Amino acid sequence: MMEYLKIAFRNLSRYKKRSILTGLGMLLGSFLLIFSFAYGNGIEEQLISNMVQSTTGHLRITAHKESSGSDFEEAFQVEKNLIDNSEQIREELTKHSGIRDVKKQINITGILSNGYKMKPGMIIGVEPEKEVELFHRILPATQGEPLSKEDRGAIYIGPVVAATYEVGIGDLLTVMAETQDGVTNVGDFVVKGIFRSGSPQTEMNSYIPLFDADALAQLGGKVNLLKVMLEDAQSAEAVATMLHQEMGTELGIEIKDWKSAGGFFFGTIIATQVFNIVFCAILFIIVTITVMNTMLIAVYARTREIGTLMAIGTKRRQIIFLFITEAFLLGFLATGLGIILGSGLVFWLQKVGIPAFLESMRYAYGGDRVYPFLKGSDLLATYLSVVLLTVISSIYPAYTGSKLKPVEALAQV
Amino acid sequence: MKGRLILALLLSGLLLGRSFVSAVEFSSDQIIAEVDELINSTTGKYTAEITIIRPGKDDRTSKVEVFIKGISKVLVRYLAPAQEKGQGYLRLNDDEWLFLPNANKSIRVSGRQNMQGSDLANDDLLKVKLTEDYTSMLIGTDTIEGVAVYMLELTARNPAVAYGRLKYWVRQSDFIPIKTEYYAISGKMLKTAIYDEVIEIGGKVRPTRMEISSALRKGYKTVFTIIDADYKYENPDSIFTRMYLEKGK
Amino acid sequence: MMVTLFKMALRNLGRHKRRTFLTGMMIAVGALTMFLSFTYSYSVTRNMTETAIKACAGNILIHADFEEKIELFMPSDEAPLLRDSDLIRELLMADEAVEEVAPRLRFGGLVAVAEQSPSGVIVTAVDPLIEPRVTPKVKTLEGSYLTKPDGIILGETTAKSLNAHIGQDLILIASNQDGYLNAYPFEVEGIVTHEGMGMFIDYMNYISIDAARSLLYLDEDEAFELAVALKNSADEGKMVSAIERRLEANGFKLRVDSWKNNLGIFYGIIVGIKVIPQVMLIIIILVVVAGISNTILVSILERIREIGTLMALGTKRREVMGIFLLEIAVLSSFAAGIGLVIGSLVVFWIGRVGIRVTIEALEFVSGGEYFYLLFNGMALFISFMGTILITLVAAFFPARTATRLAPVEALRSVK
Repeated sequence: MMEYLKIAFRNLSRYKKRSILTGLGMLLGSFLLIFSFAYGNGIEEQLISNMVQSTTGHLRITAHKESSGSDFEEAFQVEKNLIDNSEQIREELTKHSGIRDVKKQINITGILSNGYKMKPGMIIGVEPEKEVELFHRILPATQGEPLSKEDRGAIYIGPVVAATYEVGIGDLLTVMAETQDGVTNVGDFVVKGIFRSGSPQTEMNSYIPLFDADALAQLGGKVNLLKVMLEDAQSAEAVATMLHQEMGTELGIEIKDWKSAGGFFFGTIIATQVFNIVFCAILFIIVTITVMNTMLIAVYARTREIGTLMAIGTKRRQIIFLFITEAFLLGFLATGLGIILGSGLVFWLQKVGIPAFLESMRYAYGGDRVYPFLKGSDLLATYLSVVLLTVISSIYPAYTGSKLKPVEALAQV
Repeated sequence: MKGRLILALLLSGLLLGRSFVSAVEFSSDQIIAEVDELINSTTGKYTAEITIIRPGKDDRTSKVEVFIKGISKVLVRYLAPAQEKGQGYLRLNDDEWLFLPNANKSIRVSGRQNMQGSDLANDDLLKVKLTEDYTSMLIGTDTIEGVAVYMLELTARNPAVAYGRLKYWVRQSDFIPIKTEYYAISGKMLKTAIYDEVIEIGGKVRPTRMEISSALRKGYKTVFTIIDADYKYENPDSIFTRMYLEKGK
Repeated sequence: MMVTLFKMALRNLGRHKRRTFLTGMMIAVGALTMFLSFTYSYSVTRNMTETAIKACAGNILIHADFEEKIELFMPSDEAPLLRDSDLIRELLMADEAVEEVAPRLRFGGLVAVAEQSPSGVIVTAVDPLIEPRVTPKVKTLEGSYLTKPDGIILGETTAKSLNAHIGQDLILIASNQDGYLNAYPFEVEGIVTHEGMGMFIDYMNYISIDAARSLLYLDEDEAFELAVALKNSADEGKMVSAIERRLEANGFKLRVDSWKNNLGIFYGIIVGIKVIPQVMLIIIILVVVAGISNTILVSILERIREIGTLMALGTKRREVMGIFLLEIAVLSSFAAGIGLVIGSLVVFWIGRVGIRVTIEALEFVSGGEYFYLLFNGMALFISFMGTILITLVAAFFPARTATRLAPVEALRSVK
């Protein structure tokens, strides 16, 4: 075995140019694959994180009600039904080890006014101290600051709202909402900050402290939504089922994992995943063809060499094995290098982020930048497949080459 | 012992000033009851003009006729202009209905909705009975343009009432209100009303003009003027039915 | 001279069949992939654009001259109306590029069904005969489309939330711009969905524009907007100016916009979605370049001896390169051609059959239940020329380097 490796290694280094060129294909291929996987991962992660942080949580708990059937409506439902003992539920839930945090939220469809213009708007009451991800990464402030725990009477708005009502930091926005009894309640809010969002689903929202939302809609401590954050996002479905059995029906609440709760927006995430898969598949096919091609050409070109070897008595099996070893070695090194370079780039970009060059890319990314990252499976899959391809592509030409009579093989130019 | 008590009262009366002595004469409930009696009648009928003022647009005036029987039966009929003739509102117990002639049918409405795009809420015409809906408190006295007034604060008895809080300025001499401020539950002011043109009408001496200014939208006003009234008129029960409402006359 | 070289190129190619085949295959795959990616990107963009235009907006929208931003299908209650809509329509229809001009009103109102409390609705009032020609993607699911003067068409979403059914009576209440309230009884005549973007706007409801004018106390030819459908969507850019000029020439000062400016945030979503396959395309092109380059490099390397031999025989460098490049050109033309033929077949097949879309979200990208690839001649041309160009460029430099080697060295290298 060692013999073969030595010979293989010597062969490769003897014909540097050929080796490098052949290896280049594998290197580039694996590099690109790694990068594409990472890029796709980054986008998917950000989109999911956006949805989970702003809309659903890993688990979304709402008061039980009939489903409307449309994914889109599902995502946009403003819950009229309230959760009664949200604090108690929160306590119960945080006892479970898999649950990291429970955040209360109140969604209000109300009317915003600047004293002249009055239009409907979505107002969301949140607990600022629990929404760090939301206020600092997904909706960072471009002017002013996001809400903080002690704030009262402050509102955090998006650029569209700011422009529509022509308000800036320190200006007042009046919010009108209907209380449970149908009475109109009105409150003034000072614009504390204006955020920048890459996600169309959050751009039109305005955020106020939960305390104020409660007072405005006169909910008496009730909320219409609880967002549950889990340690492990993948466990969402399982945890949801378990919780539902334990607490669901008693407390009259509905516990949905983020995939079912995400409705339409989860659909867009799936759409992105589909694009991603299709793209990586195409990429993979091209890489495959390239590697196969170069290997085939390279090995066929060495038919004379095969002839020489056979002429001096090397068995066919040995010849094939030799070529396989060479291919394997080259593949191993070239792919390895490609992966290392690719990973290096990814690690760097993971910190820095790839900026969105166009305004429109912000929507595709779900933010201003995308942070690619690699999963172990990506590395393994790329490595195995490219090396395998390389090896397989070398077998056939080596086999056919070795089938020729030495005389014929030697005659090949 | 008794003598000293009387002396103490007299002394405290002198020390604390005349206004306070007057205040002690009437409780907030009594004052509000008087106000109710004056402006929120429970009998009779009257005609009024409602003028809606909006910045940048022409003023729009409608003419209505209102019939009242007790605290739970009110019929409002639009007489003019042509686009609104035949429209009407009916309050029957806890339900309020709106009739638009082209619709052939009356529909249920909420008391808090604005009446025909004005700054009046439906309830302002159909439901106001202050003593029923609010608890009152006398918070002080004041003098406005030389007139001594009581200041009262009214708080909604239950959450279903249109306004969370009201502030009334009522003339001490005759319990005629001169100003009201309307507040939402949060404490934010929604609108103000100013009453004037106090004349004798339909058997009462009362303000016949009410100007309401929205506090939420600058320049939005509605003027409600009573043209004539007969507060002694007895309305038959039959007109307070949906069927009658839907007749359109 | 050319003919000789050509013949030589062909013979060379034929002599090393395997090499030719492999190189050719790489080129074919490259061209195919480029073409398919191009087509995919184009199809996605077109589908969404078509959906937005045909299910909702029309190509160009005309409003009275006002500043406020228009959001997708939201009534602009305070926006002024335009007059003489019939006159304007005639004016515009005279232009050959215009297919149809549809007048519309849009307003928010209340709908009272039976004894329930009224619920808010948004209504677009249209001309029943003209509108379907501007928005053919509004599909009637049940019932009929405004054949009755007092008919109302409910969007699927509204119908569900009101629990309404065909034949049901309801009362539509609205207030006009002066604030006067009015109401009329309507009969639910049909239920529609906006194909491809139903999830976004199936809350929209329709009545006839005549009924709306009565309801809102408007004149016979007042309208909120005129939606222009062009015979060819590509004319949009120049038509906006053309229409503006024509209107101005006739004394109308109106706001003329592409549909893109009338969808508000929704347009941002469209752009965001179409960018993805475009980026994909760029990356794929890069990959194709790399793949082809690599293959060509290897094959040239293999033929260094050949090159050396030729030069040793006295062939000038320029001629040697000429032979090589000609070979490559011929090969890539054929290969690209074959790749593109296959690509076109794929496109035609999917274009006919369509791929079924199961996720609601994807329906927007595909413009309906099935995703069709659309054939684009430009994509074909660019893929063809592009592949050949890439191949030639990829071959040029190594060929030049190879010919620079002294013949002796070339002959000596044993590959």
